[in-house]
Amino acid sequence: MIKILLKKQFGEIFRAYFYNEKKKTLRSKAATAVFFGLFALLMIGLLGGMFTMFSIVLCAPLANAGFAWLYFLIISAISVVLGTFGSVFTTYSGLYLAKDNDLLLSMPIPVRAILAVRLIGVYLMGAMYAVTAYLPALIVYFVVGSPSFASVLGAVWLMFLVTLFVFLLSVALGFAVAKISVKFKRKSYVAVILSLLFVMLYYVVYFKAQKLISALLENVVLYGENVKKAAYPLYLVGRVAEGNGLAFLAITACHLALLALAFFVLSRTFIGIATATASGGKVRYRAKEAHSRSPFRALLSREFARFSSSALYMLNGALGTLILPAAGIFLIVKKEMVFTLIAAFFGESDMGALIFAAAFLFLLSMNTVAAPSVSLEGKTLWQLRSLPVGGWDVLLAKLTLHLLLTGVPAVLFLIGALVALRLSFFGALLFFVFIVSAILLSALFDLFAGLIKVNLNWTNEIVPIKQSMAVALALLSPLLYAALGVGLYLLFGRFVGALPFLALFDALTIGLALFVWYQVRGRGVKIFENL
Amino acid sequence: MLDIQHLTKCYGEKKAVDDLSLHIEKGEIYGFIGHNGAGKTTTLRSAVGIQSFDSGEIFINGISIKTNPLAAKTVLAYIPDNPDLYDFMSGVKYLNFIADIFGVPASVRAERIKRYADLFELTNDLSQPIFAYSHGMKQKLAIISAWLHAPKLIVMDEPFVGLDPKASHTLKGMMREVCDEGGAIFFSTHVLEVAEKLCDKVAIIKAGKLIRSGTMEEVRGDASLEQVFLDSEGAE
Repeated sequence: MIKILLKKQFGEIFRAYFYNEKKKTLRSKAATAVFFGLFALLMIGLLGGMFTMFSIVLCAPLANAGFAWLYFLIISAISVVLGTFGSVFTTYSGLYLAKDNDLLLSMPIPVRAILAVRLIGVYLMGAMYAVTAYLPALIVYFVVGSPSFASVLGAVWLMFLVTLFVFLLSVALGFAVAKISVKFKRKSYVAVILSLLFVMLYYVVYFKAQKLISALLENVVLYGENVKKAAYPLYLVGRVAEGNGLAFLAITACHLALLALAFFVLSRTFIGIATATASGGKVRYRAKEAHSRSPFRALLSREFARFSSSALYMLNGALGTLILPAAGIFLIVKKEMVFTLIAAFFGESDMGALIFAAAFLFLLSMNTVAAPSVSLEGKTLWQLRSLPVGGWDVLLAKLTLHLLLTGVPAVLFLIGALVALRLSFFGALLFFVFIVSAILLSALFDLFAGLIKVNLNWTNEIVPIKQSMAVALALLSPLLYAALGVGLYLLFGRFVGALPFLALFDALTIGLALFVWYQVRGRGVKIFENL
Repeated sequence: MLDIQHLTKCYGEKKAVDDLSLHIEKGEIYGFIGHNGAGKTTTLRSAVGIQSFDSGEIFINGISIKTNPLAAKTVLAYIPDNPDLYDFMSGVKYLNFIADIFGVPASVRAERIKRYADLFELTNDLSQPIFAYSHGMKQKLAIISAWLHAPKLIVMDEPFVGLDPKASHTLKGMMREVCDEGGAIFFSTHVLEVAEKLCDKVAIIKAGKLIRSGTMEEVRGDASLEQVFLDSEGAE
């Protein structure tokens, strides 16, 4: 039974890898393998590369001083944070909000089988991120350290325990969000607030980590002894990787006990939460005077309602909406430091405009609202198709939502950047043009990606919001565009100067935005009207 | 009001609808009957512009759904067999959204929402989110939304499924009212008794082809509609 359900679940997640939507045919085995290879390359190449460098710095000093356990403890902690961060936004909806809950529960399928399949999905999502951090560290240890046979086994076993711990943390958080949100009318906001608290914690740890690691490397023995005295269970976690039998048994037993407890609690509460529909008591209707709106405003309002109804959509599609103003405030507060740093590194503040343009593209990749918006229509698409609204009107509403959620917060970033950089009028104008054109290009590209990689057949909104090719393209495109900018500057731009290069890059961005605009208006509208 | 001319729609090699022609006049309730997979839903979806078709023409009040879909859609309303509505809206927000799209003035919409919601005993639930609605409540909401802009043509796919007897009775009355005011209704059903009592005309479709159509008397003759339907299906 679990095998059947798993096949169904993974068939949905990796549908695009097996099935060609455009040709309505199955992909060849070779094409599927290429897709999976590219995915693995992306994960290992981008994230794994980063952690390899980090591990190289940390491993030799700790392992040579006889503190391999501390090295693995640190790596485990990072893996846990990354793994939980990767799955925190999806656990609640992955566990409880699948649209086929009622269907599956109505069939002779044991609840524990449905729950087990959902949990496997959560486990794999967290494990994927955790292993991306842990595995490079493990390989570095095998190369740099001098592991015994027992420590090789122990270190590999610890990787499994780390993925298990990530899973337990994610499930606990998903369960907490579920229990709290069933009591509130606006569940989505509860989930967003709780998840953002976790994200804030993540960033606090991230920013403090650099200092902590420097201090740790200088005082390995002292820190090691302190951890051993004050937090013996953590010491045991690290000792698992050194092949210590007692630590192995104790930590494994703890994990298994927690796992049994989690499964016991979840299996008792699953049906109640998964099938809960009422929220915050019944609201009695009172007729109020309604104001007429134009069809466009009605469509835009519908997009806002869709967006704000889903914590998953808000968190995954519009993190930049929070980060952009936060970055702007940071720049205003730290303007002297930023200005001094730019001047010290580059000798002129104009170069700062290019640096900040690249940083802005990085922040833009956090807003992918338009990318899943067409797929999210799902089975409700018939409504738009039967109403007297054109395809372009619908797409324009989706585009406008993206532009508002990115453009308005970007104003604060723009102000912060201009305050910190102290550009000339011409420089400020060029930077302003870049910000506006980059937002437009990004919104248009995301929408177009959502159209050409549309998927209306899903049973959990995680699929269009987090696991679709459209969103992957939307996430990567600003980063690749930033890389293109850096490449072009190094090749040609440095000969013409920062501001003339920014002017040329503005022209390129505007040109691309216009090109994608015409693609959306032409090909995009046709795709939408033929869905 | 609805003129379907030589409609053909294929899914790959299979012809779902094959050279089908129908003409529905103002004031008519037109029933559409056929077994599962006969092509009823495909015909209805093509008629309201939800899906494209391979050949033929469809005119709504003289306007081609193919060449001028937006103008054609302003005078019609459609209710599918399984109304997947916007779960993230409340009932009243959904109705206001539909009213905004069709440009129904605020005062008119308030009066209509009250009238139809009262008729279907849905008024007290209008502030509830749609995800908390039962199938029948969603069906009622879809019906209210269809009637909200006073369309000239209403196309419905199995509209009685999920409705309680009282709501079914109400809907029948509303259908007749639309036709008395010069509108037209085109709907599919498997409930032959309803078709027999309610429809002015009826059409039977089999494997994408229209096999009988006309007034109730023309189609059934001296037999019952059920007998005619079963005979057309080749049953005993």
